[in-house]
Amino acid sequence: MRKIIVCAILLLGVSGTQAQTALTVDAPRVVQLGTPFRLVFSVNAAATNFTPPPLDAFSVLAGPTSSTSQGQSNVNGQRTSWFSTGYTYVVEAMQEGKITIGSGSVVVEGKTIQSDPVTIEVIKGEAAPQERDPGIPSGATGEISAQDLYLRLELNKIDVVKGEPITATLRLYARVPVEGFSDVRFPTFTGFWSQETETPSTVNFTEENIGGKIYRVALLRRYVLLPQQTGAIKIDPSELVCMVQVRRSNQNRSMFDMFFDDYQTVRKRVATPVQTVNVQPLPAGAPASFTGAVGSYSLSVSADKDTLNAHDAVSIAVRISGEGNVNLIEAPKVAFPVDFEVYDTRTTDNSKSRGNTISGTKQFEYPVIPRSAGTFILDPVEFSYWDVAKKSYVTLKSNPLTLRVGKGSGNSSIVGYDPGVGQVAVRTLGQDIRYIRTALPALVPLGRLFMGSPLFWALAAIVVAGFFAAYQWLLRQRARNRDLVSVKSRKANKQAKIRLKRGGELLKSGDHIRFYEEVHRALWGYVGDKLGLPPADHAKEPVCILLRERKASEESVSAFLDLIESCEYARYAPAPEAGAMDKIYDRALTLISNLEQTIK
Amino acid sequence: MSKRKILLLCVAGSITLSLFAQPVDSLWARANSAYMQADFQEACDVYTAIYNQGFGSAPLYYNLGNCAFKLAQYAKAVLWYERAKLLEPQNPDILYNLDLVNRFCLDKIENPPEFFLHTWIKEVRDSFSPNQWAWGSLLLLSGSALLLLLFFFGRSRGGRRLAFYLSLLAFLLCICAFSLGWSQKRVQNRHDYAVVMTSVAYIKSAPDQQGKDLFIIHEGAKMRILDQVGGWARIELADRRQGWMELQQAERI
Repeated sequence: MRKIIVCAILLLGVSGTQAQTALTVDAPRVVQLGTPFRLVFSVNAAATNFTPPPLDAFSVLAGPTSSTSQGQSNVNGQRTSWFSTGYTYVVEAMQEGKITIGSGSVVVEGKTIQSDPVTIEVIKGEAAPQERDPGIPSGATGEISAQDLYLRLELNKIDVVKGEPITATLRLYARVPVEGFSDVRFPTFTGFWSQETETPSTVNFTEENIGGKIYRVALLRRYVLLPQQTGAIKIDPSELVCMVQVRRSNQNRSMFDMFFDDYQTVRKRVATPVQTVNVQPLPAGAPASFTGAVGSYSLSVSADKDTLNAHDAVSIAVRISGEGNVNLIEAPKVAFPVDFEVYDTRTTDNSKSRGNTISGTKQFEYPVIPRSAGTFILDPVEFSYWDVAKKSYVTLKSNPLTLRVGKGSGNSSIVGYDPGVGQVAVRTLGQDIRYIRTALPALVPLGRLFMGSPLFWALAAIVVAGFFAAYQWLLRQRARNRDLVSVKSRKANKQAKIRLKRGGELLKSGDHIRFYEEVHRALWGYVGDKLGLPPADHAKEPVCILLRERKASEESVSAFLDLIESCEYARYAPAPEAGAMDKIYDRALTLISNLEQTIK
Repeated sequence: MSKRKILLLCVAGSITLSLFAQPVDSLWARANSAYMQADFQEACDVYTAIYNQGFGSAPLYYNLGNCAFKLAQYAKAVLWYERAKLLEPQNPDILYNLDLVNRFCLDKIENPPEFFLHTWIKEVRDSFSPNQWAWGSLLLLSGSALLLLLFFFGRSRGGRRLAFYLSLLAFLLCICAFSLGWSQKRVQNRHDYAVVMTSVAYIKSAPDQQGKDLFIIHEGAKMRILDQVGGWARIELADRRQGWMELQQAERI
């Protein structure tokens, strides 16, 4: 016991050089009534004027004895020297209960340094005899009971949900002097993700009052456990072999032996009991963005720049900080626009396990390169976790992030290549059926088709019948057309006779001048009417041209000119010979009849 | 029967008639708006009401297919798209959606390659509806008759000859158009294809529950009905496999 205390004092001294100058109090946390113990005030510097705190509750058996120690150490070529001043009391508690020792003070280099108050618990204890009393075993005999030395794995909770952090502390409880350890087997936490949060390099015992007995307790390891499975998970026992000093229980002790402490070191194996943790699955109804985070978190999303050019890289950082299984958080999904090229997410885990929990920040960086210009609004990033305190799912939503992507400078990498190099095929994002047809369709009663319907056959029959009817009609028409020549000449003769009716009367009366005048007028009248010429335009040449245009035969035209000339001449000539007038009349008749047939 | 009674009867009759025969265009608009608001069940019901009034058309069947697809009733969607395809065999929307919905069906049935001439003729046939073919053939018949008249009564020799050959050509085309239209009409009215409506259908070797199981086909598979014996149909898949299945498991296109 003493060795350990000396060791501790030395350690304190060593560590003191690195720290600031301070006055520390070294005292057991729990003492038995009437048992002397040491109370050491030490300062890591040369000190003077030690003023002790009032120690009325104790009876001072010895002290203060001051001591100084100094030393040098050379670690990796670095020389450090230390100096320490100690003031030691040996005191005994006078009454039960918690006693607070106030602040003492020293003067170091003209400055007064005060110690922190220390509380000591005084218990009545068992009928603990004096440690130095010979004949009664001090602390231990050859037999070490399970109450004297045991190992415990203490869990701060046993009923948890999946992913909820548990603190597990491995402690050794001893009422016997423990000299050392060997064959340490620390627990393997199968079914948990585990992280050591405290791994003391030396074993420090502190006194604790457990059930009215003073135990010296050493913290061996502290872990944070994150259950990864559900159900009752067993934690395998951890084991330790302790070297315990026991007094030899020799019955035949010689008289001389009684004056010496006769100790021997015994190996004692201790193990923790098997412990079971009940891990409940997380309740149903998790949000879509839930990936297993448990604890309490905050979320922030930022971009390293909000204005950039196309084909420039930008990094979107999603930071999740808080307490819980920070290190196990998965990257939340960020919905980038389709034209963004997204590269592998970079994850930085700044979580630290401190005390009971793991806390810190996990950062996800999404390097992206926008491939087209425009203003893009990134959808809010969602992150869900199970809040242990509230016992419900919480969904965090970031603010939407706006990225303004410019066209890119003119000398971007694409310019200079052939046009079309940068072209990309249109990407298909999803498939769906095409939309309904909205225009009102021609709805027909089912099974009714024009094809093959009676109406269709009727129309076909009408077409065929129409063909035959038209054929018959055209045949008849053609037959009639064959008679058309005679009909026409009949008509022409009739016309000529009407025109020359007065001429015929005059011919009979023998008035030759008026006869020729009449025939002359009748010819001009007929031709004028036929060609649609007014009487003022009656001249020979244009009439001839018009007649030829109207397809009159050359004989008819010359006959017409001849007759007109004959008539004009005969009007001023003496009376013609007997048959001349008849001849003229016949020729006029024939001419008109011919013209009537040929002129169109 | 008194006059009043007759009047009452008439009024009652007209009311029931108007309820039964709601104007189709308002039903159509109602179904469309229901579809737009993603109320596919309502849209499906209203379209079906139009169909139940005895009307048919490719857009109606197509929209019914869309509703069925959105309601994840893939066999029904196949059925309606196939019905629409019968009426408008070359409509790209119908073909696209049918292709898509077929990917949701389990069975992949290989179509054996077809003789190219057959494909061509089918394509020509399907590019017009039977009614269009009917009108076309009537038009060609009239043209042929007119040209024949021209041949009989034409004046110039060359023109008459040309008219004769053209008339002959028109008449041949008329016969072609008529036969294509007629064949298409027969295809539409044959109803010899069917779609499996139950999730699994066992195809047996005989029209009998004790028949040996030959193969199974799933919801949405299309097959041809060759023969019918009682409640059983002899069916053939596109890959020429044959067997018997209970008719109630399928619905005719």
